[in-house]
Amino acid sequence: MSWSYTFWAQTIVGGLLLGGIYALLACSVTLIFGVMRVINFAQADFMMLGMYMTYVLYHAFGIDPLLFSLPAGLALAVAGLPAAGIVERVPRGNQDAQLILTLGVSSVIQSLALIFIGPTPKAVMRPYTIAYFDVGGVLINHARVFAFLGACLLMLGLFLFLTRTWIGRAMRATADDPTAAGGVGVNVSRIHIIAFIMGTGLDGFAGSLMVTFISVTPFIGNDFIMIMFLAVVIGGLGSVPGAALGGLIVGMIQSFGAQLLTLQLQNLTLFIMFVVLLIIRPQGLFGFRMRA
Amino acid sequence: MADASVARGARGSRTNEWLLSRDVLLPILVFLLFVAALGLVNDRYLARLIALVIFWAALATTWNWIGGYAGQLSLGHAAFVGLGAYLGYALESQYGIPPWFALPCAAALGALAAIAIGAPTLRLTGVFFSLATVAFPLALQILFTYWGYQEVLIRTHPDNPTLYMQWEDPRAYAILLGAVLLCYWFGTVALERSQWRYYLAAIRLDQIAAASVGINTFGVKLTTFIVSGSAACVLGVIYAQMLFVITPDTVLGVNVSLQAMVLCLVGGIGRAYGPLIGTLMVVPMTQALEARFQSTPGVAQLVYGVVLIIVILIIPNGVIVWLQQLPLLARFSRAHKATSHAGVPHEAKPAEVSGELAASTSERKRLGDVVFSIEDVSKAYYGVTAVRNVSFSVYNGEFVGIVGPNGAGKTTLFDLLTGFQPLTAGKIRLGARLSTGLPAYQFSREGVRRTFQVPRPFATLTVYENVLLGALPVRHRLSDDIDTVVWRALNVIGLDDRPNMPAGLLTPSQIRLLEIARALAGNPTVLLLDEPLAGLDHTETNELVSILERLHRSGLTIILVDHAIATVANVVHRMIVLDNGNLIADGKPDEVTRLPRVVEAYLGSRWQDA
Repeated sequence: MSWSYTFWAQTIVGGLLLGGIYALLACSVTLIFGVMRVINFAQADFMMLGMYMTYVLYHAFGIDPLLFSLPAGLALAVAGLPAAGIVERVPRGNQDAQLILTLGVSSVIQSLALIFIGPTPKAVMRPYTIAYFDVGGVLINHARVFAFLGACLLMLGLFLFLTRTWIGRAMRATADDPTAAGGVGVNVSRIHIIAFIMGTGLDGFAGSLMVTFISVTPFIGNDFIMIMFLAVVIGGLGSVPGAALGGLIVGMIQSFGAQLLTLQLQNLTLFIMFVVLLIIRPQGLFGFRMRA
Repeated sequence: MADASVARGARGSRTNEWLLSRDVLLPILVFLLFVAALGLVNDRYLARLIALVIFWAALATTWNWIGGYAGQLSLGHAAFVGLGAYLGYALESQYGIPPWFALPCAAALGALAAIAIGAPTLRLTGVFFSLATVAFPLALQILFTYWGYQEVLIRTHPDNPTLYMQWEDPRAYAILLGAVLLCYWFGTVALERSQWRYYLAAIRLDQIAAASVGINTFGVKLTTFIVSGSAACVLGVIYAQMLFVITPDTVLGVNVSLQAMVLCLVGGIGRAYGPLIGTLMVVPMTQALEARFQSTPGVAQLVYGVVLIIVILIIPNGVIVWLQQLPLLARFSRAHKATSHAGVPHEAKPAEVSGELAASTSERKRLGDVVFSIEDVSKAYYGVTAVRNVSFSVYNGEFVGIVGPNGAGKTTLFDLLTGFQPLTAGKIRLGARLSTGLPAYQFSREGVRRTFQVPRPFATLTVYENVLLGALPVRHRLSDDIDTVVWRALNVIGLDDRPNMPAGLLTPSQIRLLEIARALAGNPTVLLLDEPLAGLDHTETNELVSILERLHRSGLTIILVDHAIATVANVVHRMIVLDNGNLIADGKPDEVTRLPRVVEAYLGSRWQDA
């Protein structure tokens, strides 16, 4: 490919489409972290479960992944319930123990996937997986566009939920100060669990959309969790718009990295960018200073 | 029962006695017994498992220094292991240098890497730090894969296995790693017996309060990180020789970092025995599971995950805390309290000291010298000016009140005076020295001590340890005379009847007093109090005021910041009034309170004619 207008446009569009999905995943991380103050290592595994669930239903019943993405999100929200219960059982503030619990949950999910589905990569092939829009020479994959739009819609929904509904406001209040939120009648424990399962639900939804253009393995979560964390740190932990922006930036960096560097070095740009950002702006682009 | 005082107990008595003490001899004896017992192990698999267990115990011990004692949960420990592993390989394959010589090189490389990783990341707090550290081993993993080291084999030297650390018998690795673990154990013991134990505890509990007592928080964290990284890097060299095959994933993978952390958390984080117990529980289990379920991949990991969840749910603080609560072991752990576990306080006993501070505080300066002066100091936040061109001097022995309505810039000025915020413009002098731009801990070491509006005690440390932390950073080591300083401060403030009570259990007014005692222990030139009277009832206010007056009479310079102008006017001898960031009055309290400008600031202009 030459260094032409289409080359750059292709790279930017690719980064944007990938970044949209990352943005949704980053929102889910920031939601759980912001409200519960828990780093959830199992989140990308819920995404993986969403991918598998969609794959199985497609092959068993021929249900199209796009139709199934919302139910997949709901199913993964339900699947997140036991994990939420486990994490919430630990006395609040014991972040170390909570972190280990999420590692345990991650381990369990990955091994279950390995036992029941096996290590071979699985993918869902739909007509739109290999169909492209041609916009002035820039080829845009249908599947990725649908996934991007789905992610944007869900993020919009999340934003409206957090700002317009009572539970959403209670959630932001809890994120801000759990003691004060409890004082004005918010059931903090319940809000924590709702935030957690919303997070896993978002992951499931994202996974369901992604399986049409990325094949799934039991350990795919290990690659994604780091990307999710980096996106969130770039945007600023605890901020939903920041996380979305962080996701877009990560998508862009990866897309440019893919064009300019060899395959092995693609993620390196991401880490370099990350470290540079840490040095010049440690609280993230949108970040607030963390309370001690 | 423990020693007569923390100071004596913690220091040991003399160096040669220390060398022959139980703390040194017992681990050496255990190590020798271990070597002897290895002779009975004939099973290769078992010997290899023992070597692995010791490797992980040692690695977890190094993680425990930064992650446990200092409370900085690093998720990047694999970076050090991986660098060590590849360094050993590179030196041998490129220059034929045996791994033994790679050990000191690895220590140096680990230290450099720790500086490179720690310098940007250790400025971050909490989870930010954890997430930031994740990136470094991952970046290295990518680099080593790119450079073509996806799978490297250590070159064999059958002629001279000992020189090249390539023993057929895994027991040799177990002995070598055992010796390394013994060294690291002594590292932990040294940490627990020195002032570092308290510095790290202070940083773990509250970094702002740690800075206020004069601890260079960044420096202490970075030093700990360097020692920890250096030690882990040395282990990496040996680990690679034992594995014989190095892949980026086995030495740099996220799982290596996570494992080091999990072992500490399962055993008991920030405890000397924590990593050892955690490793003994987890590593043999994972190895056995992998051997048992070799045919069905995933089952071993499943059981591991489930066990991890159950263990953490039952004992969220780690096995060692749980063990200490068992009635049988409770006695044992009490007996060992004085030597081993950080976080379990020593029993402090009162010493015979006078309650007068006069000699210790005023000897530095004569009465009437300028101790503190600020010139044209301003502070702006993105265009909002909180403090504007404020100048004044404080003389030795003065009792000054800085007052002003809420929002006048008092707290900002307070933070500027104590170095907790940088100035936008102006100068601060401590005595004759220009101290503009110094970090907060330097202000504290120079004798500018503060309390906080919302008190910041080190909640899980005892009253005695809190005050000890006030004195340690200026005196640098535990000694007998530091004990006297601490008791004198406790005595003045009236908390000497409960030295062993955790600070978090005190009443709010006692916590205020504790903060003052902590500040006094640092031998301050000037004591700054941020709204110390807020929220106190009448009796408590009187008690605090009488303590402050006594301190003032003994020669201490005190600056008190408060918005309650009437209360402050009765206590202080000079009053500075702020309004909208400007200094509007400075003088005797009864004169200042009558100034129209002050009345207007407090009551609004409509009261001017009243």
